[in-house]
Amino acid sequence: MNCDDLRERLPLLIYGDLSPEETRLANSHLADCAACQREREALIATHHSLDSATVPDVAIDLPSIHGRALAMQARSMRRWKRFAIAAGSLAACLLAFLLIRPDVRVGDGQLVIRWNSKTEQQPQAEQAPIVVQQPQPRDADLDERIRVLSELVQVLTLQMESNDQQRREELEVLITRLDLLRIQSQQRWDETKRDVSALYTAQFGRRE
Amino acid sequence: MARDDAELIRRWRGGDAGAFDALVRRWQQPAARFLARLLGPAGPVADLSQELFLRIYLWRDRYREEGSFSTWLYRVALNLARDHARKSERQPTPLPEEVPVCGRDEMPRWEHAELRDTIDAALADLPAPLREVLVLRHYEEMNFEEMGRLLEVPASTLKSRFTVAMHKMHERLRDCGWNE
Repeated sequence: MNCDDLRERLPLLIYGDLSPEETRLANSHLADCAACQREREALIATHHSLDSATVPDVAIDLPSIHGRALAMQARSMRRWKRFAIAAGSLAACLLAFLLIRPDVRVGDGQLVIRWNSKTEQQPQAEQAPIVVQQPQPRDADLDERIRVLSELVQVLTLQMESNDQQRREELEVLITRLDLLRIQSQQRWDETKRDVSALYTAQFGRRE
Repeated sequence: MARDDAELIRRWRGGDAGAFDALVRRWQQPAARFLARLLGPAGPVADLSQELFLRIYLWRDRYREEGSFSTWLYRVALNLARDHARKSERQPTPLPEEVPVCGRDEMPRWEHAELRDTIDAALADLPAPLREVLVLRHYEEMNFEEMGRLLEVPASTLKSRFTVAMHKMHERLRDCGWNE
């Protein structure tokens, strides 16, 4: 270890912060170097001089700390309370907005907000909302109308059924006639074939 | 002492206000001394000490039991001192007249009080990184490993800073006629 190396390590040597090996090397150099010994003594004096620094006498005001801490906590609570009220109001407004579902339109320099109105552009595929209504008290006029409508529906049904029966009967008749025509046509064809065959035989004799 | 501090903190967190008072009484002088060394002779030591313990009171939940209370206390104090130094840089305040300015000219030897003032001024004139290491090593007797955790700087770097700080203090005292 040379003088420069030792000079870098002197403060650590004085405070006992060198490793055992470094301490041994430093002490070995100091034993033979008067200049480094003087440097060491000067630094030791500086080390002692540092203890002359001002020692303040401070007494912490504990009641003041407790008071200020309480005041800060109260302020923080008030801030949170204001924030909670604001957040709750905003949530209520959003909920009301979602429930009412207003129709907002801007145009012609106007802002129009409507609620509880049907929009014109509902898609056809949209499912009808399920409406649950409580049964209303019975209306006599309404009952009469419903009875008349029921009777009309029944009459129309009967009429339709009789018409259907008639059509079926007509169809059966037509089918029967067609069958007769088919049979008659077959008979005529058979007769015609016999007649032709007889004429041929009469004219040309029996076929070989 | 660390065990006692941990016990006081546990009781304090459990609602025992007397435990916090006991912590303050134990640490107010070391904390004030630490702040005085960092802030210098013109620094508002009493005000910042009060602010320090107010922060400790409000931030009790930030303290981690695996670390020592003293390290946490010094960390908060260090940040307070650094914040104050930053604000002071923007608003420079003149030193009080009774603090001597000691240069390289030949000066007569001073009494012990003057030595104290010289030390205070020399500490205040050190750059903040050097002053912090010197204060923590000499006055708070903190080893470099613990200091490294507090300042978040490698121990080897802190040893170099300490060496430079000690040589600067020595040169300053020598220039003022001390420790020739």
